[in-house]
Amino acid sequence: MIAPGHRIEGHTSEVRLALQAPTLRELYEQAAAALSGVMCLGSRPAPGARPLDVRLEARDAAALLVDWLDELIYQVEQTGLVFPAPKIHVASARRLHATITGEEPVEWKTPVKAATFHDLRVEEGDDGFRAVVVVDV
Amino acid sequence: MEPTGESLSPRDRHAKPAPVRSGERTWEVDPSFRPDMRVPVRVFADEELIEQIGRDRSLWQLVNVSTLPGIARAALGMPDIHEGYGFPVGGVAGTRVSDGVISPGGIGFDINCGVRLLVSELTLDEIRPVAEPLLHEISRTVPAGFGRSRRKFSLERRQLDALLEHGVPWLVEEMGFGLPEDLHFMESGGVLSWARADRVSERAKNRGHDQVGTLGGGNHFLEIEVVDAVYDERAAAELGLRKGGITVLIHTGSRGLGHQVCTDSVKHMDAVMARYGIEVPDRQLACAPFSSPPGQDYFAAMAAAANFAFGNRQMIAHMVRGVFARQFGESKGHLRLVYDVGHNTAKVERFDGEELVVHRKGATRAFGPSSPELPAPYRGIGQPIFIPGSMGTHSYVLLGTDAAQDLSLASTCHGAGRAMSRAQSKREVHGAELRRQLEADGIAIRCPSNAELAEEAPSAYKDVDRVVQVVHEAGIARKVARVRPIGVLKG
Repeated sequence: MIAPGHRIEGHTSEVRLALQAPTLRELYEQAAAALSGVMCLGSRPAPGARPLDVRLEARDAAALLVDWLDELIYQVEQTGLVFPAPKIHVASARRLHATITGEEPVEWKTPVKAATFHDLRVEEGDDGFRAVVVVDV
Repeated sequence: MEPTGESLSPRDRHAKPAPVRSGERTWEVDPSFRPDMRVPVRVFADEELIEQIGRDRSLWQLVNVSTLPGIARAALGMPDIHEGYGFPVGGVAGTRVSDGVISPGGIGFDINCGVRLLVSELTLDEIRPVAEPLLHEISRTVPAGFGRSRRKFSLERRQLDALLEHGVPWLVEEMGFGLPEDLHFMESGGVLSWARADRVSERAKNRGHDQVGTLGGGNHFLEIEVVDAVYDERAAAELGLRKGGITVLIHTGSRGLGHQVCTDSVKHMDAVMARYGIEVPDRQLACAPFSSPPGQDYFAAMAAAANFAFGNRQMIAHMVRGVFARQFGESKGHLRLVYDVGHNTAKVERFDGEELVVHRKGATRAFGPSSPELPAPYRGIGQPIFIPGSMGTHSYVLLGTDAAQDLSLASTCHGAGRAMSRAQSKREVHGAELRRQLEADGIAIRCPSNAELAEEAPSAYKDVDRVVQVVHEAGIARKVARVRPIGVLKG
């Protein structure tokens, strides 16, 4: 199976995230880690940060990935914390249930406005899942 | 609604457009290039810029835009065009009100991101000795940056709804933020009248309620500048600009509220557009008929976010005026608003008797001298347009032309336009070194992060002088003055 991982790739004005993982659960974890990697240089536990319950449903896996990133972007803006290590309880192509706990960024880097549908794909192969998503920065 | 969704082979879908010269400063891709194109693609550029534009996928994205149902005339690219998502940044598309669509991606996430210019009676000699402390005071007063910008001012929900529906006139008349005369010097008087607060989600309002008067991050900035060249003395005088004069340029938008409006709308249109028989070559072009409920809901929510952006720039200007007044006195430190204009909006405008929904994404409205929409002092000279360069380079003050009405749907460029990804810029530019270099050039800088500074380095952008020269020569705006920064607060 493919090893979980992500790359932050160049784009003239935005940022393209390339994700891979053996399972959808790990793919969504990689998406969260990649987003935090764009937004800040490292993070540490935030004293008093409360876990948040996130439940999402979407029409397909690609739309769910966008919803997941948008949820994290919203929570970053509301809490001033980042969410690089979510606990994913349920992960299918259309449903996601996770618990996210904010961490304090060591240094803020690039603000992310939203995830986009441009060039978006989530593909299942013999060895796992690969996804590409462009985020507006 | 016209039928749509012509099936494309993968080869057609990803074919790279090769623009052909169609005029001194225009290039076209013919509709025969791809079977789903409805109109040509037309780009304003010179040889060097068109070569640069061809390096990324902006022309391919403009071809995708040309397939939108109801698009009229041409899918247009300004000389600062670069690859975006769905629409390219620097793209303009007019879709017919009667049978065309509205696409939130054609406006972008930062709805009504725009610029406003204020001018003072101060001279460079008066400001240079205090530039550092002045910028420091502005940076303490105007929340800037990401995660650091919460926040000095929070609106109650009813106040936020009032701002969303009534825009800057409400901020000035009810809250006292600004001067009554400011209202004459803004695009649409600082309020889009069709805005509806009840079309903006609670989530968007949660993001926006404490972001009024915050600069944000990314490429947003506030600059103190000096006018260093004047190309049209009479027009410059009408705008209150003189060589050696001091100006303040504010570049920001609708912050998280606008981002959420776009997020909500793209998601909704992605889900419903099949009901209208629409298929698009890129999901980020998700759209709905302008006259449909989703189309009208988005148009009203977008207008509300645009009003928020006008209000955001108004609040920032109010704060900066306070700093100038404390530093130089009420009279000497007065900052007069020259104009405020957005570059990410959709507006219904009339062209040869036909009403079009003009999507401008990273493009500035450019009404000419005969437009009745201009404030009285600018009738006869044209609508002011501000083209920010990048830190360390010039910015320009232009005026709209009557010719732009026909040539470019009354639109022109909005900036230098990125030429290099943020990642590449960070690899090639050392933030701390750039900071030293800018300071050595006499530019005071406030930017907490060297990494962010490197992302926005001047070398990451196209040559703004060349971009402006192209729009001037193409006749879709004309040069009035040039300014250079002496202090930059980066968002």
